[in-house]
Amino acid sequence: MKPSTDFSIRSFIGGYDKNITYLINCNRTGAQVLVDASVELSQISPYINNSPLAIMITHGHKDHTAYLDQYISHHPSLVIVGHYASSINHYDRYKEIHDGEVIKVGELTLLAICTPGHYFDSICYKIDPALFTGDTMFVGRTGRVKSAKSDIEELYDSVYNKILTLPHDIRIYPGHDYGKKSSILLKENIKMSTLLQAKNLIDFKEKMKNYEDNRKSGS
Amino acid sequence: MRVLLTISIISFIFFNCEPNTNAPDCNECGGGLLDGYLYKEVAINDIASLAEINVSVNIGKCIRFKMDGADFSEAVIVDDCCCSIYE
Ligand SMILES: [Fe+2]
Repeated sequence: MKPSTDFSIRSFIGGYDKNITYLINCNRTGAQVLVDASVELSQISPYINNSPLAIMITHGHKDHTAYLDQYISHHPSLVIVGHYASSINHYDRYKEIHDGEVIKVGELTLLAICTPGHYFDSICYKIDPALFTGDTMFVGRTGRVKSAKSDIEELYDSVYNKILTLPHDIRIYPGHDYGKKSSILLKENIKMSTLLQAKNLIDFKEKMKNYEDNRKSGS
Repeated sequence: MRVLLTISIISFIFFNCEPNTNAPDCNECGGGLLDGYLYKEVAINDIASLAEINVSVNIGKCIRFKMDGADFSEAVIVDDCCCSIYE
């Protein structure tokens, strides 16, 4: 029988606006996976070993890819995984991913869940019992839909039909540290977020408008 | 103005968990991402493209594959456990 796979998650907060880069470490094989390139490599370097390394990009907004060149220059074998149509798909070691595809690095297994809405190329990565949501879902709310390639109807579909249908004891690891804590169980997030309590799309649009009308900068 | 946080906050969480695949003997998945492979359950849209590389497989089966643009360049059928992390 195959032994259990222990893994750990370190979160590094910094970058443009309380961004979070995550380092997932498979404790059995030493394989490591990063989520987003949003903080300087010097913050993460002490924790990177010499084992195989891949990076999952949650979406193409610049704050999430800001340090990608820096990471690649220090780790030339880094495999970059992201949406097939993302603006960063020109990298040599870019691996296009589609909805429902499974990524294995060592004994770490992640599932790509395409969640367009906040941005067209948004992807969540699921590695039980964790879900890396990028800017699709934060602690306390969903992402916003302010980009040229944002779409509130797609965001509603992604959040309500792809994330809220997952087991509610999954833990959300967002792309920014905007909430009262840096990660949260999905069931707790639903309780504290009106944007996760919409009855339907119309209600969601109203709740989003209400959020934007009352939004304080930096929240 | 661009905000640079000079202080980084690091948190650390450790999971002691079961393998990410549910089957206890899920050992035959073959190479992973670092060898260029991804895994997926075959959808109806994949059937024609898989047929072009002489892979005949039913919808819902799990494959290990590489793509060349929009087409499969390589695909082999693997155990369902290699794709079954939804359950
Ligand atoms: Fe974003």
